[in-house]
Amino acid sequence: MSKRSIKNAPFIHGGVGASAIMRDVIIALIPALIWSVYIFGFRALTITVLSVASTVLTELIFCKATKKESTVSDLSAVVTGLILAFCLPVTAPLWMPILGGAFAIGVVKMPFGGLGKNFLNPALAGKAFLLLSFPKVFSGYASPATARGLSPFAISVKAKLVPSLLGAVEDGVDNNTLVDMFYGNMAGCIGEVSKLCIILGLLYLLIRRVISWQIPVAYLSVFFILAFSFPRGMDEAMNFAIASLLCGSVAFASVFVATDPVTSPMTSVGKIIYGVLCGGLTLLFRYFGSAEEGAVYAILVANTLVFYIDKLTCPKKSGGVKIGN
Amino acid sequence: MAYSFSGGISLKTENKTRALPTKPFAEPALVAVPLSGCLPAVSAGDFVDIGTCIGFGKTEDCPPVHASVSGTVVSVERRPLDKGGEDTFVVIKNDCRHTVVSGLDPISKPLWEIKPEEIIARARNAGIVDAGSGKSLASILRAAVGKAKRLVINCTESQGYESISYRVMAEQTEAVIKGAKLIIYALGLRKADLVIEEKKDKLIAKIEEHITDKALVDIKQTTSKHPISVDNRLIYAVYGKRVPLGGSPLDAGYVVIRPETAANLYRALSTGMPMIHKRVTVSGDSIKTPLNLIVPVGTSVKDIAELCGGTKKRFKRAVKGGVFTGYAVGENAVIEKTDDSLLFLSSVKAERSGCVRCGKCIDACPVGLTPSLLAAYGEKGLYSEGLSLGAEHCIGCGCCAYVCPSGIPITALIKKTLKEGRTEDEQA
Ligand code: SF4
Ligand code: SF4
Repeated sequence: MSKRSIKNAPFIHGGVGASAIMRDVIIALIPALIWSVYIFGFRALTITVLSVASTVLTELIFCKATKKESTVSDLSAVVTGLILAFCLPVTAPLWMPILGGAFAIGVVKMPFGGLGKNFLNPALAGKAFLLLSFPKVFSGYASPATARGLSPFAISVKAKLVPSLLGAVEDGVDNNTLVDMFYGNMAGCIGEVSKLCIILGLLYLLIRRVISWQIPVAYLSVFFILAFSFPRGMDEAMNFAIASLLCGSVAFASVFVATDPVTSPMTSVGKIIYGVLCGGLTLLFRYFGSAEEGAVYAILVANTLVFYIDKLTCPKKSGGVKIGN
Repeated sequence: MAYSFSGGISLKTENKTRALPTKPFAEPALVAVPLSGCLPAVSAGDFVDIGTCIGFGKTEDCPPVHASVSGTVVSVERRPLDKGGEDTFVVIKNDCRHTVVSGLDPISKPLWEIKPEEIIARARNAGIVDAGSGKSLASILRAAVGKAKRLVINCTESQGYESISYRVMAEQTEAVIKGAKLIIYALGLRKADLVIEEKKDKLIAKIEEHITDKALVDIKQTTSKHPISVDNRLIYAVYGKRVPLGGSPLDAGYVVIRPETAANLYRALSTGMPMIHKRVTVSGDSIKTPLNLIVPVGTSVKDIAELCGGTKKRFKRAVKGGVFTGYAVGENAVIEKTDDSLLFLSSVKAERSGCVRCGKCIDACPVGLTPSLLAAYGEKGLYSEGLSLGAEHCIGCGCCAYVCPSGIPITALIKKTLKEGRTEDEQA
């Protein structure tokens, strides 16, 4: 990575660089990775490795082609690769993480100027691209038992798919299933199943101050309150709300995707607005969209509004309360 | 609860020089005393004693300058300053005999017989300058007559290395308090506050022993976050008063000085000796033995480095005025009356990438600006946009650049915006 030697005041730097932040995000993702290999077998690892290789290589090639200094060492491409892989089902054909990774970096991130300049989250846009282009792959998930039997290296695999739990949620879920959903003993995307691992990651990110609490808290609480207030199906509201929180990609996305600094607002107030927006949109997409992965589209839509949220909330000369000596 | 403000940064490194007692350093072979705009009163070949007046102030607000060592004047010359501009320097070769000028006139009468006018006049004649504001004490006091409500002794040091205010409070407690009382008396004020960072328990206990009348002199404790030591931040944190843009704390009714200045005033009255010495913290990661020193005004950076065991291999630059807000100086620069610290630093590198929009700079800015945007404008040369976003409110504290994970020299870019933007304005 490029370094600058400091020539003006302040002659000191806190020492936390972009790569240190990305490294922390990678560390926060590791529990979910370990869990995914444990529950879905080594095919999960293959997909993750391919996805990361694809994002990193694409960035490298892009930098070479445009004759820019390589930015790979800031590790943001690795994070994108991990997040993309974690949003894929273990039954996905192996060319999918490669294609998705190339799209994320080569279309969504680098053409806009690289890290910090893209307005959509690359991994999420990659997932949305795959979701729209190959909806069949996402139509159902292999149960953990089936998944473990899959070959890690076969390009495509045939497996018995079970529909996502989202349908079941409406009919009510018993407590044992809820516990399974919490630990991640369920069918779903590679890295999204274990809420426990996601919470571990969240705590780590908060302790290391990589992210602030506003986005995940606003996101999840609004989502939960709305699900509780407008439950679907016959079951009691509480059960529905908890189950909704535990299934699909909402937990993962609220912690690892919505908090991406590049595509979220800069101020605390802005972050809360953004979180509320994401929470509301996710539920709307789940209720009224055909897409069950409501969080993906919700965050992408919210991404496009960040510019306006920032305009509204960034301190200005006269408007900001804090401003002035 | 300690007084605080939003934003700023807490440094994790410990300030090691706080524990080091101040050492006098009286033997530089050569000093170059800056006249700060005064007219030279001596010429090459003249003999001077310690305390001989070597520069006349042209105006009331420009106090005289005195020789800090005894010896022969080698030259009177113009030299450029590292912070910009130039100044006249009187270079004196030290004869190390320490002869003191005759006719020093200490005050022996009791306080109530001294007229307020006389205190201000003596502050001027003693050439006392306050390091915090960089102004002469006499001009501070004169401006404050009838306008000030309270005296604030700013003992905070938040940039991580400086510890002279701490040392003054520990070593000269009595002199500081007496100096503060003199000022209260001269200005007809009711009260002085000693503002100090919290958790300096031992020091605070010691100061409390010396305070006889809490209604007159009191202690106020603040956070130790940077930039609490900046006067305007301090006034806002402790008293909740905002200093208007471009104004000084006096506009909010406060006279702010450093403890060393109060002690200097007391000494000037009780001994008649003008301000010829300056306390400095010599520190940084590239000096072999960090020290707190009292040096004759005009001692060179080179001499000080030698006294402190020399610089380490990784030494890159000397910095005056604090690691966050200071500026780099060459080895021929000298200690002026306004210098609190001299730092010897290695080259610092920061990872550089584009802004990742993390918002850390916004959270850190103590005056509530949007540093990321200001930096972007500065980089693109959109100076008037920067100014309209409040660049003028920037106090140059450096918090934003310190936290920025992308290593953007935000503070420098804002300074550029201010400089260029103002010249643009003038041309328009
Ligand atoms: S913008 Fe100015 S006042 Fe704000 S943190 Fe940066 S240097 Fe300090
Ligand atoms: S701290 Fe640096 S990277 Fe973060 S928003 Fe501010 S300028 Fe951008």
